[in-house]
Amino acid sequence: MQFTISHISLINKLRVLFCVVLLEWLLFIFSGVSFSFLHGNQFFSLEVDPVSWFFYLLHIPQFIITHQWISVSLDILIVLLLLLFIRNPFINQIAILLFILLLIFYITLMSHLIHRNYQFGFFLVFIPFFFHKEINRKYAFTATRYFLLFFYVSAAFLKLTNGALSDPAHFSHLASGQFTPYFLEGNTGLRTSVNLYLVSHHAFGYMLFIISVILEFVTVVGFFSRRFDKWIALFLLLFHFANWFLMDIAPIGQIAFISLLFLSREPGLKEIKT
Amino acid sequence: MERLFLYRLLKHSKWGFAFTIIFMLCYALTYYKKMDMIFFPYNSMYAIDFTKTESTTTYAMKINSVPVRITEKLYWKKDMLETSLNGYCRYLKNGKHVFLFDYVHYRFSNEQLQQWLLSNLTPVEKAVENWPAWYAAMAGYSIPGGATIEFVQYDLVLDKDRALLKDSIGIYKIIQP
Repeated sequence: MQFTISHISLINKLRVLFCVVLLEWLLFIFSGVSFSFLHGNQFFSLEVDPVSWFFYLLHIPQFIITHQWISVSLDILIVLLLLLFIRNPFINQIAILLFILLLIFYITLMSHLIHRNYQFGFFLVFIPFFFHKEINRKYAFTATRYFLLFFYVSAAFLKLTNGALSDPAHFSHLASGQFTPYFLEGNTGLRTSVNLYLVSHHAFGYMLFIISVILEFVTVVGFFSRRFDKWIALFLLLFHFANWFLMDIAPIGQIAFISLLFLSREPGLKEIKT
Repeated sequence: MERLFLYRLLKHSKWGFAFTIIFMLCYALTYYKKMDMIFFPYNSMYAIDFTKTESTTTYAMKINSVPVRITEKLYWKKDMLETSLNGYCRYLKNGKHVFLFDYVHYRFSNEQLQQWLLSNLTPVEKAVENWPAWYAAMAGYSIPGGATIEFVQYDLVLDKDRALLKDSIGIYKIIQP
C-alpha cells in the first residue's frame, strides 16, 4: 500500500496529538488518581446523569475499584493501547476500545471526586477515529468539531443568558472559593495574592470575566469557516491555562481535544463539500 | 442545502444522520430538564453565582489534631483530596446520605424502584466507614490504632489583603479502632 506525503504528514500529526493524550493519561497515573489508586475507595456520589447511572447499574466502576488486579491491569492496558494507537492512529478498533475505557475511567473518577470536573475531552478525542473508511472518518471529524465548537459557544451563551455579565462582582464571588485550602494551610504565593486581588477588585475581575466570555464566544466563527481554527484552538488553550493560574482548574484532560482544531484543514480529515 | 452539514450527512449515511439527530434531541432534552449529562457538561460553568458573597467554606481532616495537608500534591490528587473530602463532610452532615438519596426519594414514588436505584447508585454505609483510612493513605498519612480522626468545617472571608478565618466547626469525630 502506498501512502501519499499528505497522508504520512497527517499520521505524524495524529501521533503528536495522541502523544498528548498519553501524557494526559500518565498525569492521571502519576498524580495518583487512575484506576489503581482508586482501589479501595468505597465512597462515591453520583449526579443526575443517566450515563453514569447506566454504568453504575451495570456495576462496572464498582467491580473495577474493588478488584485491585483489574484496576492495575486497566491502567497498564490503556498505556499499551495508546502506544499502539500512536503507532497507527487509523486502527478503529483501538479507538473504540480506548473511548470506552477512558469514558469508564472518567465516570469512575468523577463519582469519587464527588464533583464534576469538566476536562473530559481525553475520551471524546477518539470519536473521529471510530471509522475505518476515510469518508466516514471525515464526517465524524466534522461532527466532533461542531460539538467542540458548540461546547464552548454554549458556555458563553449561558453566561450571557443567566445575566452573569450584569453583575460586576460575579467573577469576584466565584474566585473567592477557588483557593480556600491554600489559605487554610498557609500555602500562599503569587496565585493566592492574585486571587485576593481579584476578590477585592471587582472591576478587574469583571474585565477578566468579559475577556473569558469573549474567548469562549469567539469559537462561533468556526461554524462558518475552518480558516481560523488554529486561532480558535490557541484562544481556547489560552482560556484554559489562564483558568489554571487564576482559578486552579487545570486543563489536563482537555488539551488534546482542543488540539483537534489544529488538524481541521488536513485533507485526510476534511470532508469535501460536493 | 449542500452547505449544511446535516444535509450532506443525510446524503452520505442515513444511520449517521439519525444518530446525530437523536444526539441533538438528547442534548436539547437534557438542557430543558436541567440535567447534567456526562456528554454535555461544562456549559453552565460559572454562569451562575450561587454564593453572592466573598466568604467561602472548606473542610479538613485531622489525625490526632494534626491537619492533613493537601495543597502540595500534584493537581489531580489535590483536586481529589479537596473535593472528595468536601463530599464526604456533606455526606456526614446530611445524616450519612449522598445527594442521590434525596433526589431518588423526591423524583420516584415507587418504593421498589427507589430501593433498587439506591442499592445500585449510592454507597453502602458500612463500606464507607473505611473511607477516612483510604483518604489518609492517599494523602500520605498513616492512622495509628487509637488515633482520633476529626472532620472540621472552616468558614473564611476574603478581605483586601488576606483571608480571615471566620469560624470552624467540628462536624464529626471518630477513634480509630
